[in-house]
Amino acid sequence: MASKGVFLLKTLREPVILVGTILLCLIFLAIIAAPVLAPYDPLETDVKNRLQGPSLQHLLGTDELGRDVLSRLLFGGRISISIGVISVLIGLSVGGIIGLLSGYYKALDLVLMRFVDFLMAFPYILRSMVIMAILGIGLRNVMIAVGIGGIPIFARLFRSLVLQLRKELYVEATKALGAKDFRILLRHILPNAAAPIIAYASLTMATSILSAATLSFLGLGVQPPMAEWGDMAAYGRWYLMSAPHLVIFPALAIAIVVLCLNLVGDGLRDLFDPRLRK
Amino acid sequence: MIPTVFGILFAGFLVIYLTPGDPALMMAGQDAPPEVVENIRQQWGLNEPFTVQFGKYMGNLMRGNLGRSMTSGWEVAEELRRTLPRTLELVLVATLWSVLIGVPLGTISAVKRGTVVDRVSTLIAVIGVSLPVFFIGLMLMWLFAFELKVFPMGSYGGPLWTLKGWRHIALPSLTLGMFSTASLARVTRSTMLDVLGQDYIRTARAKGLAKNKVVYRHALKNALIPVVTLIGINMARLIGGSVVTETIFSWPGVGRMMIMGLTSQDIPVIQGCLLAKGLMVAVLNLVVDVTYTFVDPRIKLSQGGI
Repeated sequence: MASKGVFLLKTLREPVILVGTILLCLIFLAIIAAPVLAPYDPLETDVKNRLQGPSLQHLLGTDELGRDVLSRLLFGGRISISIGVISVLIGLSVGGIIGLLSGYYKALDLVLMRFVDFLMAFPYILRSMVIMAILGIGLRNVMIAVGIGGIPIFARLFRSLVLQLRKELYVEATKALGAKDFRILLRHILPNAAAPIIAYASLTMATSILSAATLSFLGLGVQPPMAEWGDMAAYGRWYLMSAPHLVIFPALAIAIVVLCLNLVGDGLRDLFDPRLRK
Repeated sequence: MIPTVFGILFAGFLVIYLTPGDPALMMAGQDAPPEVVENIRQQWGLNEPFTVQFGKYMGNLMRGNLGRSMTSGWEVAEELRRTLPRTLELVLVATLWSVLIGVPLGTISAVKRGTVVDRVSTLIAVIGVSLPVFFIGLMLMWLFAFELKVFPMGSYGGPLWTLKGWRHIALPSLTLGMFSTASLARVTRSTMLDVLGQDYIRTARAKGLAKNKVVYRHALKNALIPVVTLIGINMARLIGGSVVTETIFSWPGVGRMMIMGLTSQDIPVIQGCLLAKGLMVAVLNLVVDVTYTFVDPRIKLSQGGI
């Protein structure tokens, strides 16, 4: 337990990781507390006060239907960030199982890696779009599509970690003691692979939030009147000349979250990868 | 390469096979006469078992038959012939920017490590990777097309040997290239730092060569190996990512065609665009693998896989 505490302290001593984590926590809290913090109903229209810039009544202005941008940002963040979290969970669990199995069992390796190569034949966003084409438009499908898009990344990561760790002495010792494969994988290999996995999960979540916002921006995700950051920017785009704040605020929200995730992920990766340590 | 191409063709097939609803009816349009629907069903073998269907699909592909768009009625192959060069043009110019800006930026910040120049360019690179493409695109559009009125709002202007063509491609290509510029700058910086710490660099400096000469003749040449690979990977990413840029700037490429297909569930169009983009990426990957062995003779193709 003591080593875990030391590790946590060491992690938080990196200023970049610390700042990123604090900002992310604040954003998370704000989004969870959206019903309390939001000054207006995010769906309430007020056509008389449409397309207004930031003011005291509406801190971040109003959109094309007079809805309060700040409230929509707070509620929209719930959707945007849950897409990121859920799709990373999909990619992590499916990709993780594929990677663990193909790293540990040589017989499965060839078959599973061919499947991963097949997914890798398409660039990330195109991969998600293939799946959108099959599943159709909608919020749930965006999550699945972005999640499946992340599978090959995690499969490769898990596989390389298993290949590396299965040669460790303690794994061989456990095997010699007669532990079952399942136990070795879950109790001995997985916990030791946790650190780089967390770093990559953070980086992938950044990519996922960006791709999900992009898919929504293209009109493939959330359907109106629900608020989502990418979708808000997509509608704001038509008022770019008269009310640029409709694009700037949602895009900034996405950028800040993605930036924090990238900073934390990069920082963690540098910390775990001894080759990158200066 | 061959398994990849097969995989892409198979994915194209899956789009038709797995889509809920009757694909023949969808291809023909909702109010098509029954004999037209039946005709399509015959042509694509939709009543046959899986393997026969796949065979027919491949046969149609080999003959260059990608079907007709459900919404416009145009031949998909014909439309792709028009849109594909536009996307390639955009991707190439975007790559040009990323190399012209990204590599020098990374080099300078590696050489001047720790100075303000380094910090600023690293910050720009991190921001460039984190900003959504549509935001960059819309902001460039707002600033240069609307406020300053130096560049047009979008759409295709003509071939690249005309001034008008360049004025029209400027904003879309900068937008598309922003991510690769930032990532190239980051990678160039880190590999340059690696190389600058090597013994042979110290030797070159010790024998009295000027610092600039060492940086550009010795270090940069060796740092370029991972950079070249990244350029290839980035181009593949740009082919995928051109969708957003094309939508914002009304650029008549494959990406915009694909989005229009996706939003109207136009199966033949989606499938055609998917095949076009997938095959472009496959060819590109092959080219990257081959260039790789040229740039670094130590790597043989057999070990070149990722």
